[in-house]
Amino acid sequence: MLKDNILLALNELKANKMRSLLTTLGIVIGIAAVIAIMILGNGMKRYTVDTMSSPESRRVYFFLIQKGQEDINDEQNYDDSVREMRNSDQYNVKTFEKLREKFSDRLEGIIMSYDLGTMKTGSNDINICGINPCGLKMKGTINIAAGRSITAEEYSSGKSVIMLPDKKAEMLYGSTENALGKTLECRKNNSFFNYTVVGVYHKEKESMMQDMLFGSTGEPAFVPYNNASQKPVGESCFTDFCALAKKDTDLNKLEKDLEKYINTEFYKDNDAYKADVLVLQEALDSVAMIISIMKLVLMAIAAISLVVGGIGVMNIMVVSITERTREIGTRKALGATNGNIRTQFLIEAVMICMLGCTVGVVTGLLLGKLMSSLMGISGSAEASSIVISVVFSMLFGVFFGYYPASKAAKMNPIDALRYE
Amino acid sequence: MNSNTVIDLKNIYKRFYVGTPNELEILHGIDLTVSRGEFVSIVGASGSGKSTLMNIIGALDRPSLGSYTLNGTDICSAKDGELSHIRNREIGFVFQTYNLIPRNSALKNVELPMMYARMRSRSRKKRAAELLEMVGMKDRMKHTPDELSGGQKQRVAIARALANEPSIILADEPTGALDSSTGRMIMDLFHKLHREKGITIILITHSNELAEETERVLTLMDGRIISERRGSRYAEGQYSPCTQ
Repeated sequence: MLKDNILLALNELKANKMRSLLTTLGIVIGIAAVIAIMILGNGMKRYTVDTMSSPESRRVYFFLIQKGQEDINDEQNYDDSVREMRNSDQYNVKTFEKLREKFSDRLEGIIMSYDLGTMKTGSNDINICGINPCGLKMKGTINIAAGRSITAEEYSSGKSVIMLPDKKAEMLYGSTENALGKTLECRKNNSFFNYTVVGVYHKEKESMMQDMLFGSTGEPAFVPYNNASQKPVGESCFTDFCALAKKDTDLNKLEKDLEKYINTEFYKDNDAYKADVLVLQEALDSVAMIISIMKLVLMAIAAISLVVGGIGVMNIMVVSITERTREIGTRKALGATNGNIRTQFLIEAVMICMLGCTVGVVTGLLLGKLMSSLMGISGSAEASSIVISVVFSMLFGVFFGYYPASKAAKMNPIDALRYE
Repeated sequence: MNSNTVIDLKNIYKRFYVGTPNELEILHGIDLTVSRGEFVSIVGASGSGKSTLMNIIGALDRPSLGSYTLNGTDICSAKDGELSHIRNREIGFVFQTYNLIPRNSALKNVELPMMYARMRSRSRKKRAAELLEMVGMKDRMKHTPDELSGGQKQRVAIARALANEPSIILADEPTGALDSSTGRMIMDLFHKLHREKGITIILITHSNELAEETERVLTLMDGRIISERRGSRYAEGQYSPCTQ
C-alpha cells in the first residue's frame, strides 16, 4: 500500500512536471541556503579557532591613555583640558629593555615594523618595510626561497641588507638565484639607498578571512628595522607599540601583569598619562561569537524561506485536490476509506518536500563549498545536519500536507462524484 | 428474508435539509428486493429520485428512515469505514462518465478496488489482466484513459467494477455518454456477464428501450415505485447476435 502510494505520487509529480518543479523550488532554495550558510559559518568559526593558535593572536598591544580613562576606547572620560603628550610621556627603548628583561619568560620580543613606503629602483617601484625578527612573524607565512634570512647581527647593527619577495626578484633579476649578492639601488624623493640582496622569500597566499581579521600585509621587501628607522635608535619614542607573547601564555593574566608593571615602573609619577595594555584574545573570542550569532541569524532567515516554500506546497496541494475532486469521489466509491485518501495526499506532499530537500542539500553543499573555497576557508557540513534537514522536510510535508489531505479525506463521495 | 436476497430495502425515506424550512423529501417509502442473479432496471424521468435511490443502494448515502440490508449487512447503522468496506467488496459501480482515474493505465484502474482490499500486488495484477481480457480489452491494458474511446473506457470501468467479485453491479446510465452502437455493445456485455457469470445487475436509466431488455423493470416517479413488470424484450437480449 505504501509502495502503491509512493508510485502514485511519483506519477502525479511526473504528470505535472513544471508545477512540481516550481513547487519544490521554495524548499530547494530554503534547504540550500540553510546548508550553504552552515558550511560557511562552520568554516569561518574553524578559521577563527585556527587563528587563535597563530602568531597574530599572541600580539600584545601597548597604548597610552589619559589617567582616569578606563581604556583606549573610553571616550566618555576623555578630558580635553589635559596637557598635550610630550616625548617624555611616551614609550622608548628603555621601556623595551625593561620589558625584555622582566618578562623574558613570557614575551618573545617587541614587534618593530616601519613602512618606508614605495621607492623607485630604475623604472620599477618597490615597497620597503623595516622590521625586526618579531615583526617578520607578523607578516604572514614566509619561507626562504633563495639565499638566507636577515641575521641577528644584521638586525641589531642595522646593516643595509634586503630580503626580496620572489615575484619582485624574478622581475628585477630574471630569477631568484640571480638576485643574491646584487646591490639594489633605490630612490625616494631625493634620497638614495643601497641594499645588498641576501635572500628571496616566498609568501603563502593569504586567505580572505585573514584579510578580514588582520588586513593584508602585502609583499614588501624587508630590511632591518634599525636601518629603516630615520632616527638613531636611542632617541625614538612611541605612543604605541606591540609585543609578541610566547606560546601557551595566559594572555589575560599577562595583560594585567604588564599593565601593572609599566604603570608602577614608568607612569607612577606621571601627572597625566598611563599605559593601557590589550591582548587580541578577547577580540578573537568576540569575533568567534559574532560569527556564531551571524550564522544562527542567517540560518533563521533561510529557515523562513523554507516555511514560505512549505506554504507553497500546501497551496499547490489544495489546488491539486480541488482539481482531482472527481478522482477522490471515484476512489471513495471504489472503497477507499478516509484514511486511504488522507495517506495518499500526505505521501504526495511528503514526496514533494523530500524531492526539494534532496535537490536543496546537493545545491547547498556545492554552493557552500564553492563560496568557502573562494573565501579561502575550509567549511564542511555536519552529516547530522543533512539528516536533520531530510527529517525536517518530511515533517514539513506532513505539516503542510495535513490540511489539504484532510480536506480531501472528508469530501462527501456523492458531491465529489458530481463535481464538474 | 430469503437467503437468495441480495438487496432488501424496506420503507425507505430520504429527506434533505432536515430541520430547515427547505426540508425536502425525495424518496417516500421505497420497498425493493433484489435476488441473486437478477438483472433489474430502474427507470424514471429526471427528478424522480433515481440518483438518490442509487446512492442509497450503492452505500454512498444512508436513508433518513427505513431499513436497508445488503447481503445480510445492515447499511443504516454502518459507520463510514464500514460503508467504505461494503462499497469495496459488495458493490461494483459503473458510471455514465466512466470515472477512470486519469494518468493511470487501464490495468492500474482495474487494480484499484483490489488495492483498497489490500490484495497483494502480483495477484491483483493477474486478476486485473484476466478481467480486462474478459471485457475484450486485453490489447489495451497499458493505455491511459485519454488514449481510449468511450466504449473502451466503459469496458475498463466494467472490469474494474467486477474486481472484488461484488454482490451487485450498480450501473448508472452506463450508455448515456455513448453512441447507440457502442451503447449496444456495452448492453450486450452486461447481458453476457449476467447470463454467463450469473452476476446481479441493477441498471439505472431513463431509457425505456434499454429497460425493456432486463428481467424486471421498476418505474420510479416522484420518489415512489409506481410499476414493476417483466421486460418485454428480456429474452431478445439474451440471444443478441452481438454477444457471440
